[in-house]
Amino acid sequence: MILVPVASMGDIAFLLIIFFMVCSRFAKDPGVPIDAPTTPEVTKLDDYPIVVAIDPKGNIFFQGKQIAGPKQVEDEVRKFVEGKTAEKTRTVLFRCDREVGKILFEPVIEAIAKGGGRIAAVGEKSNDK
Amino acid sequence: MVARHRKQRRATEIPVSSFSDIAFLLIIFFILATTLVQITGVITEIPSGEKAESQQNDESPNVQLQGKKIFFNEDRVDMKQFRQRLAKLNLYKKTGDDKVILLEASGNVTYQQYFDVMASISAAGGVTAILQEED
Repeated sequence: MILVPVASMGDIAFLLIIFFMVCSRFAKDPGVPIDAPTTPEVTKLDDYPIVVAIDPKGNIFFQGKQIAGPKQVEDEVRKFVEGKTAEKTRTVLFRCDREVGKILFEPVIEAIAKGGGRIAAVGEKSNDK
Repeated sequence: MVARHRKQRRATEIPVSSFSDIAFLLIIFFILATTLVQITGVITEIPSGEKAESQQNDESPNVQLQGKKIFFNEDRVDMKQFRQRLAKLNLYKKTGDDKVILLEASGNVTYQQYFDVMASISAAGGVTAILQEED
């Protein structure tokens, strides 16, 4: 009768646990709860490092920190894209609540564009055609 | 006969036989509980400043959002008609300034409508240029 040695099973199990714990990615910018807009024409977005968000009250957040206004967004985006030419490296993830009015979000979109950023607007897929 | 009392051995060793069971349970927990978050959205290039002004011309199609109404080249349309008219423009085959769609919104437009229009323009191969509302 052949006996399989199982003494190292525990070691393997712990290694796997450590692998999963270390490789898990935490969602960036989790602190700005928004209700994303929906449209049938969405695509999967890559993970971009810079996130600009507008919450339902109209507060603007850059990398999770609240900032004063669109001018600061433009300055931060300009600093971020300085020296970068590739499209992917100058893309800014833009998250905005669906009920925010044009007076609040349009200046922020323009600020990102003026700063030289390319906008990846977050939205969810709807079933409308 | 002499009675012998055996000393009871104290159990000093911690039983570790169930460690691997606990480890596998934890692994299964992490495998099942991990959620793969997929961010979806729309990538859009919005020209700004001088580039925006140079790309605009009188022949660029324009979209006006007024409240919940959409006007495409002055004609009122719904979202389905808007997408159909964008598809007819064959923006994918065009280059440079010919891909520009002018977008003007009034103050009471919500981001949901704006996003829907931006997404439709990007999906049709166009580039959105924002027109400022005149005060």
